[in-house]
Amino acid sequence: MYSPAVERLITELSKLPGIGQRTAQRLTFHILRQRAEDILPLAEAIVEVKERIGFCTRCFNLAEGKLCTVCADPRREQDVICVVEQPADIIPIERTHEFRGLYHVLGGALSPIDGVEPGDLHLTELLTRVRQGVREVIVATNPTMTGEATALYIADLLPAEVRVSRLASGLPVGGDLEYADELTLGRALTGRLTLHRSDAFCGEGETP
Amino acid sequence: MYIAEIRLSGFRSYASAHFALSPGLNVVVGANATGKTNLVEAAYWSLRATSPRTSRDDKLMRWGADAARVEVMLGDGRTAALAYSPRLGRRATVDGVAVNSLERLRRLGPVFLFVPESLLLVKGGPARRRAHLDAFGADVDPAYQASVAALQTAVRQRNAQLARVRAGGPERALDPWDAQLVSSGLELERRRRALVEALAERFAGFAAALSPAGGAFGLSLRSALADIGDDPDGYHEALWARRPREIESAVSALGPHRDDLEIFESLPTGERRDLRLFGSQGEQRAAVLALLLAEREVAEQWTGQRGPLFLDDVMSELDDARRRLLVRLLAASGQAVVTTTTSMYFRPEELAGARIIDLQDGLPAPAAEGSRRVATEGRESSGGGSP
Repeated sequence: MYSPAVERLITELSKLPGIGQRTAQRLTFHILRQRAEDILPLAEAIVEVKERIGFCTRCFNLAEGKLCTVCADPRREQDVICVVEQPADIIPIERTHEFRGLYHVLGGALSPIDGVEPGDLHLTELLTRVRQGVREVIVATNPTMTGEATALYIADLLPAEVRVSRLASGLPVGGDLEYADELTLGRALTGRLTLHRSDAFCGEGETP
Repeated sequence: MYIAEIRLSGFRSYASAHFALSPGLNVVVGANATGKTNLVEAAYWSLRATSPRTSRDDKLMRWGADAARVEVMLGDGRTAALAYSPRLGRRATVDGVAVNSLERLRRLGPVFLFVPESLLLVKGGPARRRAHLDAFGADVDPAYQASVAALQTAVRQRNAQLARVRAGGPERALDPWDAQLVSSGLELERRRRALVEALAERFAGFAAALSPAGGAFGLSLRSALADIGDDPDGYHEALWARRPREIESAVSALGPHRDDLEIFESLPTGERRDLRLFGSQGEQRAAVLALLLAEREVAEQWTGQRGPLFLDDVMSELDDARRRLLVRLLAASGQAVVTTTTSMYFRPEELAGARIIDLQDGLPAPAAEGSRRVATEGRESSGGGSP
């Protein structure tokens, strides 16, 4: 129907996540209407990102060069590693400013149905890094069944002297109990915390 | 929760019809092929988006109709509508707002249905009983459905991993999936056990009440996990012991996905007589009815909602003694809709407080007036199935 060049662009765009055939067509016609100097930077940006950005040789985060910005930063705590499934998972953790250690990107989660086995994840590299003197590993895989299975596998894999922790599941801060789904609320109940009361308060009229 | 009115269009034998129901006993009378079963099927379908008679929505459409549509108005003023057309697929609304999950329909309240196919609950294989139990569990326990889904995923993942180990993959990769099977399995088992425990006591009462000759009937969960109880270590050990066999077959055979619901009569000797194998037709029918009645009581206790009970063509197959017992139970149990080919199966005094819906002419007789009024009041809801 269209010329081969147009068809090719539609096909390539429709391979992107969330883009169907119709959207790909709309984008293609939008691109065709644009002036060359307005739209060519997009093509250049794609080329540049693929040429310059690769994976960090240490943690498999996205990196411009050999090491990612986190691994290259000497101020980060070198003996704590946070394990995530994908590079994109690092961003929300960084936004918290609570974590000052390093990361390790697995590149997915165990899922035999999809053919993902331990050998397909960056687990050997994690083990090597941990053996080089790591105090704690925080497993921040997703709270899904595949993420949980991966977390268990990692916990069994690592040497016993290393502390392995897992992100807690619970209620969103500032949220209403009323709107919590049953599963999250159930987990929050199971993982409930004891409130620490000051001795002075506890002592008043309520001596056990 | 009860259904105050129901309207159908393009559904099975109905071009267009509406009925008003009473919150108590309703008796739908009609000869064969007047649409009795279709009426109760429609009510159930609109509230559960599924029919025990067919898994294909296109079979529900009237010959030549563009769409099948059922709308129910509940006693508390809420409405639910479900429509199916080949062009648009299935569309559900609650109070006029489109909903896309069965969960939203479930939250309207429980609904119970007996059709001749329901006998397979006793006669058929364990999968049918598990599915029935799980559907009821999802009605009354908000986290139940998620537990079922979690177990299914764990079993599928573990089976895939078993196949990979069989093909030479590292056996260690099975460990996390053992753990997922154990945690999701024990979680579902705990919920199922609570459900069956609650049902068993009431089932015994109703089954005995429906049995003219007396007898002690029971219900229990038959599970390979029974000995393990709530102990994850015990489950792990059992999986470990059968691991070589499971790698060989690439099938996870130990878990709630292999449970069965045992329906039996306790003999004076202490033995159990399995009604699936040894029950008469009448006993099996009474057992299904007793199970549904028990479910209704558990639903009321757990959710505060009793829900309507639809019984299709149940009277003709019961002997007179059982019929009397059943009607007595129904009279004291909230909304019930019973279809029958003849009102002769009821005693006049039993029909005194009941609403009779006569389908002889294909039109509701006493109920029609009230519902026609509704139809002309302009409550035609938007988003109807037919253009």
